[in-house]
Amino acid sequence: MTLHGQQLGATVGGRVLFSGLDLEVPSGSMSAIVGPNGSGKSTLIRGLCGLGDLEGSVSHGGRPLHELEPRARARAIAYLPQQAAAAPGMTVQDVVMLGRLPHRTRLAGPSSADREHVLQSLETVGMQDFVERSIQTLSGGERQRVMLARMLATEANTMVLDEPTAALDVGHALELLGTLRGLASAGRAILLALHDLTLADAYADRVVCLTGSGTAEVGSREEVLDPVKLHKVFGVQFSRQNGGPLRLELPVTTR
Amino acid sequence: MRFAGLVIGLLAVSGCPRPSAETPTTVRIASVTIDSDATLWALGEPVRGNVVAVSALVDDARYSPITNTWPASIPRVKGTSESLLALQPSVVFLAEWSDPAGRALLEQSNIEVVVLSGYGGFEDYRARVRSIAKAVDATPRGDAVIEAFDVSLRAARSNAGAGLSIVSYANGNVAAAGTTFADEAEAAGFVNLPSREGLEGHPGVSLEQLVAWQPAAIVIPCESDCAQTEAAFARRPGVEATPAAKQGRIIAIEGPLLFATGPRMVEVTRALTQRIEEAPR
Amino acid sequence: MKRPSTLLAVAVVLVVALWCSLVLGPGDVQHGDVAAVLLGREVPPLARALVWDLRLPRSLLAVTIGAALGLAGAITQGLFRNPLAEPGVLGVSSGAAMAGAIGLAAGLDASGPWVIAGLACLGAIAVLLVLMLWARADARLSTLILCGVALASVCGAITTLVLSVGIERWEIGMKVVRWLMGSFDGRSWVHLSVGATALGLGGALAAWLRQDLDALQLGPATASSLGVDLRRTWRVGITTVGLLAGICTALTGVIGFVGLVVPHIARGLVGTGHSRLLPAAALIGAALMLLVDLLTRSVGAVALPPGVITILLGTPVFLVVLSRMRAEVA
Repeated sequence: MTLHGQQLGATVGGRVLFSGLDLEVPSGSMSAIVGPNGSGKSTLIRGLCGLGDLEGSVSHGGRPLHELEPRARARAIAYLPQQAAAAPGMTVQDVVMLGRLPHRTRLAGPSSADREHVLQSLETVGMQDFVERSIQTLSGGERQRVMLARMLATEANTMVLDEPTAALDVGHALELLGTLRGLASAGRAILLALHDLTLADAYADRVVCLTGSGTAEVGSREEVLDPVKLHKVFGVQFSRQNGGPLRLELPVTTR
Repeated sequence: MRFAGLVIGLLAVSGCPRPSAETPTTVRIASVTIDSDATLWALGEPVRGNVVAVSALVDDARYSPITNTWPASIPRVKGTSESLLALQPSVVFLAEWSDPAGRALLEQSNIEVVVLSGYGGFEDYRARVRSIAKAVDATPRGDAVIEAFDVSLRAARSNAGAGLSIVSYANGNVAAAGTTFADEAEAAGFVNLPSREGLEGHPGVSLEQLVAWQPAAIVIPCESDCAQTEAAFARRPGVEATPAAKQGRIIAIEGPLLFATGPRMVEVTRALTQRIEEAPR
Repeated sequence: MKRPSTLLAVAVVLVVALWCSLVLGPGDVQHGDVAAVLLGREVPPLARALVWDLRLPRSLLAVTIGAALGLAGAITQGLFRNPLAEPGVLGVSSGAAMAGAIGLAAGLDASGPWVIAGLACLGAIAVLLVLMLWARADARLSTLILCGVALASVCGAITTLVLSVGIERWEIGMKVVRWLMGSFDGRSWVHLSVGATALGLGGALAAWLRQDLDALQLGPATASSLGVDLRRTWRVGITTVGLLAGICTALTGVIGFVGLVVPHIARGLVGTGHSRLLPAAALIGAALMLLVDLLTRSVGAVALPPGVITILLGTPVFLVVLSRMRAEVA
C-alpha cells in the first residue's frame, strides 16, 4: 500500500506554497517533510490525508482518495494533528478506543475485538499500564504515545503525523521517533513533518523539502538534506562529512 | 362651604393663585384614562365643554364603553406626553399606574393632577366618579351618575346564582376578593369561590387547584368566538370533571366587558343572570 | 462506568418523585386512589380527573422536558466541545421564545399546538446556525459564550418589541407573557405526545450522533481523519438541538441551566463517552425537572414558573464549574 501524490500544489492568499510536487510514501518506509515556517508542511500533510484541498491528485493503494468513503479512508490513513486535543476527563482507553471508530457501524458499541486492539496498541507504545488514567494527568511524552496508540488502533497502513515531536524534550522525541522507525520496519508507511533537520536526517529514508518559495524537492535524505541547498532555504550552516550524519554548525556568538 | 374647600384645595395643589379658575372657559380638563373619559361624558354639560383631551383608546371598542361619543375635534392623547402639556390643561386625570415621571412633570407645571385609584368593584367605581366630579366642580352631577348606576344595578340584581360557587379564570389567574368580578358575581347571587377561600386580588392558580375546587360555574374571557372558547376550555384537562362543565356553566364573556371597571360592570351581572336562567338546572 | 450505583439512585428518586407528584396537591387524593387510577379501576371522577387528566400528563411532561433538555445540553457541549455551552446560555432558547412569541402575537396558535412548536424550533435552529458560522472560525470558549449572549440579547429585544406592540391588545400581551414565563400547569396528554415525539426523535438522532460526538472530543481535524463527516454531523446535531430546545420552549417556556448542569453531573458519573453520557444526562435531567416541578407545586396555590427555579438552582453550579475550569487551566 503506497500513498501517492501527483502534481500536488497549494496556493494561500495568492502565494504559491509549492506546485508540481510528486511524492510516494511506500510501505516499510519513513518519509519526512521539512521546510521553514509557513512553507506549507501542514497543508501538504492534511491534503495527503484527504482532509484539505490540494491541487493535483492523491491516491492510496492505487485508488484516488476522494473515491474512498470517509471511514474506509480512515482505515487506510491515520492522522495526528500538530496540537492533538483531548477533552478533559477522557481516559487513555477512551482516547485509544476512538481509533476503532472506523471499524464500527454507526450504532454498534465497542466489541471485545475492539478492546483487544486497544490493549495491543497500548502495549506497542509501552502504555499498557495507563489504561484507566485520565489523559490530563499524563506528561507530554506519555500523551504523545497514547495518541500514537490511537493511530495504531485504526490498523491504518499509512500513518501521517504533523510535527509529533514539537512539544517533546529531546529524549522523548528520540524515543517516539525510534518507535515510529520500528513501525516502519514492521511494514507501515510513515510520513511526518519535522522541524529538526538533523532528526529528519537520522530517521527518515526519504525527505520532502518545501522551500517556502514555491518549489519543493523530493529525494533521498542525502540528496535533499544537502548543506548547500539547506543554506539557501534556511540561511543556516550545516555540514556533512563522507555520508555521515547532518550537523548543524551553530554560529559563533559574541557574548 | 364645599366649594370654598375645593378652591382652597386647588390653590394648595397648584401652589399659586389662579384667579380665573372660577370661570368655565379657563377650566381645561384632560383625561388620559378610559374610565375618566366615560365619567366626564356622563357628567354632561358644562363639564364636557371644558374637556380639551381624552385618551387615545376612547374609540377602541375593545376597551371603551363610549366609542365615537366624544367629538373628533377633541384631541386624543397617549399618557402624559409633551402633546398633553401643549394643550395647557388645568386639570389632568391619571390612573394610579400612569408614568410617575410624567406625573411629576405635570405637577411641576402647576397643573392639578387627579390620580384615580381603586379599580376593585362597585364601591371603587362610585368613589372614582365622586373624585372626578369633585375635581371638575360637578359634585351634584356626579351623585346623579352614581344614582343612575345604582338604579341599573338594582334592576340587574338577581338571585339567579342561588348560592352556586363561581370562579373567574383568565390566563391562569382568578378574580378573588376585592375585584370587580367578586361584586358582579355576588350581585347575580353567586358565591365567589376564590373570595371564600380567603384569596384577594388576582392570584395565579393552577388548573389542578381550579378543578379541585369543583366550582359550579366558571367564567372565562373570550375575544369574538365565545362559544368556541367555551368548548375549548371544557376540553382542557380535568375541566370536564367539574360541576361547571357537567351543568353547561362554563361561561365565556368578552374580555373588555369582563374586565370593565365602569358602569358596564352591571352588564356582567346581567350576562351571568341570563346564562343561568337559559341553562338547564 | 464510574458510579453505576449513583445512577440507579437517580432512577429510584425519579420513580419516588413521580409517585409523590401524583399523590400530592389540592383535592382529596389518597395513595389507593392513585393506584386504582393507574390500574384502571373505578375511582371517584374528581380523583380520576386530578390524577389521570392533570397530574400524570403534567409529571410525565416534566420528565420528558427534563430528559430533552439534558440531552440537548449534552449534545450542544459535544458539538461545540465546550462544557459551558447550553441552549439557554447560547441564546438558542431565546431564539425559540422569540419565534414563538411572534407566532402567538400573530394569532397562529389558533391553527394547532404544532404551529408554535414548529416556529420555536425554527427560531432555535436559526440561532444555532449563526453560532455555528461564528464558532467554526474561532471556537474559543469566550467567543462562543459572548456570541450567545449577543444573540440572546437580540432575541430578547425582538421579543420585547413584540410584547410592546402586543400591549395595545391586552389579551394578546397577557397570552404571550404567560407563555414566555412558562409552566407545566394544565398541560394535557396532547402536550405530552408532542414532547414525547420530539424526545423520541431527538433520542434517535442522538444515538446516531454519539460516535461523532465522541470523535469530536479529539478536535475537528482528528474527528475528520477518523471518518466523521463534519458538515453532516453539524447539520444533524444542530437539527437535533433545535428540535429538542424548540419543542421544550414551546411547551413549557424558557427553562435555563438544566442543559448546563445536568451533563456535568452525568459526566462525573459515567465519564465522557457519549454512549453512556447521553442516556445518563436524559435520566438526570428528567429527575431534576420533576423535582423542580414538585417544588413549584408545593409552594402553595400560587403558580411559580419552573424556569425561575432552575435559574436559581443552576447559577451557583454554573459559577462552580467556571471556577473549576479556571483551576484546571491554572
